[in-house]
Amino acid sequence: MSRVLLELDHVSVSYGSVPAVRDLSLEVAPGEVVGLVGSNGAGKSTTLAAIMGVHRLAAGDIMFEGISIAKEQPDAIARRGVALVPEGRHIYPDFTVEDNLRLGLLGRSTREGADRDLEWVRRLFPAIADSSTRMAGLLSGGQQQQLAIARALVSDPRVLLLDEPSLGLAPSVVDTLFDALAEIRDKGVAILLVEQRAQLTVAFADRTHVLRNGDLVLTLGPEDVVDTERMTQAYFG
Amino acid sequence: MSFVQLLIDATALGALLALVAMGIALVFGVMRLVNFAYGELITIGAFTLVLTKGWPIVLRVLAAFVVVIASSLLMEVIFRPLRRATAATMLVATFALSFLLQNMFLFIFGPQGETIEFLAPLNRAIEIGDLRIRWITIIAIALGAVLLGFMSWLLGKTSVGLQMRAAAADFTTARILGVRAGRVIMLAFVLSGFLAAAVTLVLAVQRPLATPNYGFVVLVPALVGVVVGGLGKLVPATLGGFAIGFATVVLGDLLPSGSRVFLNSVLFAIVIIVLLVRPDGLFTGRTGVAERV
Repeated sequence: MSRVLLELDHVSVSYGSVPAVRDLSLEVAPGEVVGLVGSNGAGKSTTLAAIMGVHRLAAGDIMFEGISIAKEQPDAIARRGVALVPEGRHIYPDFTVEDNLRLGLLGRSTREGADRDLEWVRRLFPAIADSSTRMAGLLSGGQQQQLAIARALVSDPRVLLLDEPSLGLAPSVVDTLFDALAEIRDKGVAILLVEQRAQLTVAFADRTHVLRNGDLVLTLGPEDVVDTERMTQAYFG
Repeated sequence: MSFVQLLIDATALGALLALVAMGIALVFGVMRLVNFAYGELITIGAFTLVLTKGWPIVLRVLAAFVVVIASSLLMEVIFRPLRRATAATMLVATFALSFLLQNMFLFIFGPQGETIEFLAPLNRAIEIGDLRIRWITIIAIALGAVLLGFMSWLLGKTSVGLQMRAAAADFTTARILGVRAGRVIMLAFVLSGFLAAAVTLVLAVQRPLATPNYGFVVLVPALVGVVVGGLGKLVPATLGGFAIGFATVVLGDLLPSGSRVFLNSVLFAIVIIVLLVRPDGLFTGRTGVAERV
């Protein structure tokens, strides 16, 4: 098996003639957390969408476990072991919590271990377990985010792509969320984390890349969280 | 006409149009495509029965199902390049296909059409007191109940149904989660073809002359029902189809015999009023929690 789980090799993505990501290269190894920060429009969400096959590449390649997935469809990429928690959660509000979780099972390559994973996410997010028959749209914002992550986790991913999971959540809920992310990482799931909260991300991730207008301009480690100058760059992209 | 007789006849037409409405809504749910050529699937089924005259009934029924479902799948292939097209482009394309097929039927079978000769004895009535109920009316109601129940189970209780509902509600997210988009769309066309074939069998008994616009005249009121019920939401759309069928029979009975030529005018006036009051549909509710398919 390749030491690198997910590799972006000189990736460029455009919206029509407008470049959104330019010549981006990064790697995520098994069990690693890699952060992506930058201001709005820096290309963070586009990068995750490109990995998931939602946006086609203008140039470059994306490899998962050493195999190119750049031309694959999103559902095939999901079954390979890549799970995306999109910005805005995109849970199904008119479906029950249980049905939302069942949809997550579709991304599994095998049904084996599904019950174990369901049990794990219910323990990780007790609020989800207590609301299985409720309509997902009736959950609080924090609970909806937990459901979106739980739904991704039951697909048994090797790498979890998280797009601004803390957006719109109260600070105490964000702390709970990051505790859960730490447990997910400790289980060996690699995480590519897109966030606006640069300080939190830099402290949490093994390394954090700063994007500005589609270009990777800086890479920070957890030790940089006390470096005011570098953190300022991280905040403003 | 007695009240019970009216109720039975109205329910029968309502059930039939509910099935057509569901067939339209299934495809709209996963592709956002209003398929105006859906009526032609019914016409294809009718002409299949015409061409299999003299065959055993079971084989004719089987042929109708096979040909209509295959035609529905062929439509999916034709519309496939339009998946990312605008709603207007898709609408015009389905119009074009509808008129192309109607003119092909006109060319092949002529404007007078052909007699279907399919299970005509089912038009005989049984009499209970002053009630006079045709066997095909009973069959239409029973078939409607069974098929609507089956679809409700399929969509509500099975994994494939969950995938179809998810694809209808948020197609991109469904794909990200692992839903095979092509497979779900194909299944929607198979199911809608299955419903069209079932409707054909009932219509073939009730209206035994297959003409080039045989299915189109059924499609129009069903489509109005879909819009009145709530476009893009399966249960409301199906209820809308039922409501239009039911209202047509009831209004036909209420209007004085000399005024029945105005039946459609009155019906569509009511439709306009309904849409002005409830533009999202009559059965969608105000909370927006009705499931889309």
